[in-house]
Amino acid sequence: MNKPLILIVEDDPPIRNLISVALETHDYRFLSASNGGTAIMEASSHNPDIMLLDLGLPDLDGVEVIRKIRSWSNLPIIVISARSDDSDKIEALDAGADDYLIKPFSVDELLARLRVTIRRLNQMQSDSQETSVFINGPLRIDYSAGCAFLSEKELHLTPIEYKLLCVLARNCGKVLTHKFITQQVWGTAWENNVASLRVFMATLRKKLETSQEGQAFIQTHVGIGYRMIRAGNAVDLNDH
Amino acid sequence: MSSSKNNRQNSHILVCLSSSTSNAKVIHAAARIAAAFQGTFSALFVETPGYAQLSDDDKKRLRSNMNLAEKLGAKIETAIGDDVPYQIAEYARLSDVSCIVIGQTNTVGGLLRRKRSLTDRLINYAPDLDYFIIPDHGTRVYVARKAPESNRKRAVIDTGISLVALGLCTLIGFLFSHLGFTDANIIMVYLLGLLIVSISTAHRAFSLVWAVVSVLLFDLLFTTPRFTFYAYGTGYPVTFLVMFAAAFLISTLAIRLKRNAKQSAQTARRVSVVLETDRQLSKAKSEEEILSVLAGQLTQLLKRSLVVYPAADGRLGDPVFYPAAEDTAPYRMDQERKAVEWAFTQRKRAGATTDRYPESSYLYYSMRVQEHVYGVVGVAVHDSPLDASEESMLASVVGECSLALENARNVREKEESIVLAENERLRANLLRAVSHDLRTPLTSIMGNADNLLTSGENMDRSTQCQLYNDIYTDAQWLTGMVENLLSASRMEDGSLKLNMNTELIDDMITEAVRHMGRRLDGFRLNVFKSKSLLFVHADARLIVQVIINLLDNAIKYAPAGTGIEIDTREEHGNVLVRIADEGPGIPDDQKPHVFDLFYSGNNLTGDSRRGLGLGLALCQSIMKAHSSAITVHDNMPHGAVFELTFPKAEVTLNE
Repeated sequence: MNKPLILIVEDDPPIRNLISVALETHDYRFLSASNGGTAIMEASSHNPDIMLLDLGLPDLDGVEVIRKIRSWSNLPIIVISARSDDSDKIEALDAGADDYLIKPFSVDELLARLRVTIRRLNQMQSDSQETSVFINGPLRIDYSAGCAFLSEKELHLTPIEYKLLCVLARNCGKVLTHKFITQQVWGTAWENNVASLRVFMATLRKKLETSQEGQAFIQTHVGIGYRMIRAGNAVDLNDH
Repeated sequence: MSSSKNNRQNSHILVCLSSSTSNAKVIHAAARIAAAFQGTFSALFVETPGYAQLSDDDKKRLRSNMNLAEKLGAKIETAIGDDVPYQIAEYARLSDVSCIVIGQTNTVGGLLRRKRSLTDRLINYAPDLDYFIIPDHGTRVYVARKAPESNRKRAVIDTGISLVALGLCTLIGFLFSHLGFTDANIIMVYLLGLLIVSISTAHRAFSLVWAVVSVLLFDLLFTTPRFTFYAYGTGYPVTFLVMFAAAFLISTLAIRLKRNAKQSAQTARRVSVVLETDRQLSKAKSEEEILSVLAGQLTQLLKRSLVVYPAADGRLGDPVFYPAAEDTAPYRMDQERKAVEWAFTQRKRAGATTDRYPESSYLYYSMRVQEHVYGVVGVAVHDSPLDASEESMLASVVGECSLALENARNVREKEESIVLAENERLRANLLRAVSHDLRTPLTSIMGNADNLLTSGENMDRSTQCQLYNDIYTDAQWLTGMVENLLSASRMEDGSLKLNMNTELIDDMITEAVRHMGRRLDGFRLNVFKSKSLLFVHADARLIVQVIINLLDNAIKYAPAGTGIEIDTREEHGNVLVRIADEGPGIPDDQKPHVFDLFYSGNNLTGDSRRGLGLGLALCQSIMKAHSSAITVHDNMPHGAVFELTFPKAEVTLNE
């Protein structure tokens, strides 16, 4: 995939300008829209590869824009929010956003998120035919056999840990909210399940990270959820 | 001119209540006078010992007169005493009454009472007052007596006592006459008997009849010729007369003695009840305590069921019941509600025995101090109305409690306003400090950007870089500031907005370290995680903010190249997080103050941006809101250690 097309949706001109300049200097193609209506139109007519969406738009609520776009497209959406309340981000993620950035953010951080998303896009294209094996660096999950391997050594996972790993792997690169994960694993999103989720996530992570590779597969988003990252992206994301 | 106006405003009109039918006329007249003078209006009922013997009709009339007075705006007062005019005069003196309205009656009392009218005697007691006398002829006032129908049992007992006394005296008389004692001794015995009968019977009629009978018996049995009513001795008619007069006098005195004893017992009881109420109220602090004192006193006093409706924010709350042991009648809320509402809104008595909602089975008093109503108290009446002394005691206790409620409210309002003022002061300080401290980095950002815009081309690369770098660090400082302010605003409303979850302490530390990012470059950071998973109940964002502030503090004071250590462990059911730096540490005299708002140490030089003194204060209030603690110690060999102590949270696993 060459030169992905990015749609910037931001009503504040200086921020729009800042993002445009950053994208231009890093050789991305981009479009911009200053409100929700234009954003939806641009998205449908130009079919961009990634959307950067500010949640506070003058005409439509950002979450509404996500819902509209999700009705016909799977295009990755990175939400940009100045709201410090976690609930906005969670709402956006639950509506179908893939990732989020909080204002103020650095250009480095923005570019890192874009790289992760592009890598995920590439992976999605190569994975497009339904596969029964998931591979992420040294991690390999054999869905049909129901087991996971790290550096070709089988991981001894409890049923819940395995389920958890599968949910993360299937949505690799996406930030998953606690609610989403607990619904996938337990079928309900009770508060007690969220506490349990943290325990299982911690034990799963220990099993994944004790290997010599020292690879961090799972990222914690405090107050929001978790995300599995593609091998090779971890350094990018942790350093900004 | 103004003084006469003043006089008018201060005038206090008193009307005297009685059970008389024409008393209504007097009350109406008094109300008109009170309205004309625009003065305060009181109605006084003097409860004499004869009250208990009033007929039911009289009691009913008295009650309707009381209701009338109350409806016309009078404050109802009750005084207890034998001497009606004296009680009225005393009340008038104590309550600054300027004018008394009274019905004119001719005589008061029985045979031996002075024949002066009530009004004359009243004027004699209180000559300085204005009097309005309304013609009120042909009515019985105050001491309306009827044979106590309900006391038939008592009459039987009294008759028995009288007969036994008569028999005994006569026996002793026979004995004396047999022994040859003089008649005088026998007369003395009869007098002694009379004394005993007067003291031990309830009604004077017994003494008088006893006197007559004893004189006749004496004449019949002990004077010569014996067994006839005829007496030879010339002195005997005098003896009879003297004996009769003595009988009358003794009985009158005895009855007055009994009345006084009863009255002083009643007064003493009332005083002791009021004193006891006061004593208990002085201990009660909250409104609930005051109401329970009220209920306790009244149920003990009246032995009747009680219902209390506390009022808050101008509305009546849910009733609290204090049922008396013997009262099993259910409380019918729907039936009582109207009377309660009326007592509350009109601030007067309502319900049973008043003319407002008399169908209620409770009598309601509003607990009020001037215009403010603190609640409504209901006393079960069912079919036995309260007597005047009970009502007056009830009114005193309710009055005392209303005052206590007002005091409690005043104290609470004062405390609230102090807290409010303190918050306001903090907020003002915060705004001042924030606007000052925001200005400095903003000036630097604006100035540097301006320089780069206007003359950037003329600068060499390293100068440009320096300016860019300054802009970046100042913006970064502003970002941290804004984060803290946001957390502070979330803290403002107490712990209501906290988004508590069971969080893994390691996650929060990792997040804080990640957030510090490049700022930790140049420091040797070591994070020691505990082997077991440690969970705490926390608002993750706020705790991350605490750790960020502590790390910020460490890099601000410790020189570059030194080590920063974070370690987590479990101790006595608590989760401990230790953040240690190798800076200069905090002198002992400053340690108690580091968590104070706007405290940033003494080493502040000029405008050097060490921060607002907001960070650590915020850390402490966040930790407090989590029922957790933050403490500061010395690091060895030098440096500061901040320690966070959380209660450990347990997680039950759902497999």
